[in-house]
Amino acid sequence: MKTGRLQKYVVKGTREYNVYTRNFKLRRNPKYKVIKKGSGKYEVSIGKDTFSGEILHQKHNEFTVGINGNTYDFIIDREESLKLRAVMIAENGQNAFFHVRSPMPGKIEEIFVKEGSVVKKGEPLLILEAMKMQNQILSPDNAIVKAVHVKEKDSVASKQLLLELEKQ
Amino acid sequence: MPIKSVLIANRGEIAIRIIKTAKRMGIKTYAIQTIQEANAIYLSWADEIIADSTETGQKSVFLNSETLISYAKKYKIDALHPGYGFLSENPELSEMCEEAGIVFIGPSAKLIRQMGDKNEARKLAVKAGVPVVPGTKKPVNTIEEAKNEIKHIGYPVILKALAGGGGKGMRVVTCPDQLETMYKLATDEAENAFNNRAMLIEKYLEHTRHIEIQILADKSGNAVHLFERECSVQRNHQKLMEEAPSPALTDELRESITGDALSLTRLTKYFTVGTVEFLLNYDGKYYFMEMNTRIQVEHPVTEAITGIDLIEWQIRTANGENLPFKQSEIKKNGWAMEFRVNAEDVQSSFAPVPGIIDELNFPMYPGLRVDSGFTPGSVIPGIYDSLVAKLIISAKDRPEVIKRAVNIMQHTYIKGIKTTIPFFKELLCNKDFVSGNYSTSILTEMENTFFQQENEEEAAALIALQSYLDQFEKIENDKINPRHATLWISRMWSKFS
Repeated sequence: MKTGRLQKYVVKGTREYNVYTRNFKLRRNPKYKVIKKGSGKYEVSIGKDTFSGEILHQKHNEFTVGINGNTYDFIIDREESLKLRAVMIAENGQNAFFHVRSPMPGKIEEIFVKEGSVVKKGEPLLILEAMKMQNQILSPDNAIVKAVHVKEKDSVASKQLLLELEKQ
Repeated sequence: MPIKSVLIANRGEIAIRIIKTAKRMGIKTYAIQTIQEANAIYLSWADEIIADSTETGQKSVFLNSETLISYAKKYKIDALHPGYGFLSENPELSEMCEEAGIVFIGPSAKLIRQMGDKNEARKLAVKAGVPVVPGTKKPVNTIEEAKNEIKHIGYPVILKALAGGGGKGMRVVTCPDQLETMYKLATDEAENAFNNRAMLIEKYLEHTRHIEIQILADKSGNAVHLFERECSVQRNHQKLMEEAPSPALTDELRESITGDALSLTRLTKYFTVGTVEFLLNYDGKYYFMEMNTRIQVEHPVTEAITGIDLIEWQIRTANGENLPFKQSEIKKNGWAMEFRVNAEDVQSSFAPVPGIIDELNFPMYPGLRVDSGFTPGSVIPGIYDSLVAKLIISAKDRPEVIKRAVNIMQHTYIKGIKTTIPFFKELLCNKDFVSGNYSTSILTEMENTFFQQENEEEAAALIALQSYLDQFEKIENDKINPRHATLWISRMWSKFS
């Protein structure tokens, strides 16, 4: 790897953070500084504020970071890879897809839709029973159901894929 | 006859709480070891452990009265303490204890039945001259009946499981369109949690404050109150935080509410500990909601301001001892707040997150009491509630308690599970909460439900990236052979070099 070259990364969380790096270090920036504190633990200063955080989980380029009891998920890509992927998506004309995942472990109590069902934003898709509470899982947008991956009485894990929807 | 031994029919922090007092009283403690939590901390506190092997996946041993009674008989145990939840408000267990000659640490089966049935309790309150919320006078068993009743009550209404507790089996219905769905959700939940679909329907009052009065009485009819607790910070009718006394009560209001609580206690000849719950409306009017016949999760805040050990007096009065103190001798001192640290993800609407606790560190702090049933290495079982620890903070006045709480939250370190602590950090700087001027709608009114420092996500993003880069650097500097790095990292490295 050539040393000294400026490299731009895109760290995607609830929004995208564009960060320049050089020589495996975040480019010397008067606004922020990162110090490694121990295995997986780091201290970051942004302006006058300091934060202590740690890597809770990593899989490939997907990270979960914990700070102050809160957790944040990120996907890291170099700018070039992202641009390439965006071009591919535009060429294939893909619609937005929604993966409806279970928010917690539980049991599928009742499913209201099937493949081909048209749903409105906020419409109940299914009922998940967890810790003796009945939870309605609502549709994130106006969509059509592309696939139903569970059936009634199934036990599901947290983040398990329940349904796939295609935005209308 | 003094009690010499007690069977704790419960687990976690409350089992430890009961054991602590029982030990102090010289009572031998028996705890039950379950397959689900064979290494639970509460077991190490007990004098004797009963290893249970009867539990199947379906039903917890703590819900099996036959098994519990058989253990008490087998080991010739004098008394049985049901804790809270589980069978603590089950009249059958109280009855079975009585028949077996075992002292049930709680009131009689008759009292549990009366107060456990929300409908019956309302009738008794009316009889005692206590104001109640407009609502149904008999159980509702079908949606047709519900529709009829609501015609008289008027929307918005709240559906409540007749045999319910802990916020389960409750749904608010604001308009007729919602009724069918909400009725189904509430009754299904009630069936699952309490095996009883019957509902009570009440007028729903918004922006009210939940005020409850702790009472203590003996079999001879002496009854006292130990002041109030405010439990308005709730999510889906489940309490997250409680304080004593309540910033909402003037001395006059306190006089009136505690008076009504005692009227009900005396009318029903209630004995042992109990809690009478009220809703205080913004117009100063209050209404009886229900009475709990067990020790409550939040009892420590009352203990903090009165100095009275509620478990001790619950045991003594259940055994027939009389109260040696009068109301005038009970004083309140200072202020206390309890924060329920639950294993819930506040960033995902408080979804429960069972997992393994890697680290659980609370700071040493004056005025801090920590009641917990877990230590690092503990697994949070998915089948029980999500309570990890209770932080009870006391000080000379409310602002001081808040100040201490902020510091304590700041210095608490929990790893491996997500908890409600970020929510409490946000609550403690919410101006309505700090001014003491809040209601049960506070959670829905809060703009953010968890505390997030400015730029916190950006800081986290930088940490993620630095960690990513550190891995590449290790390979470049030959510190790791690319073959030993993760597949992704080594592929990326060879692509870019």
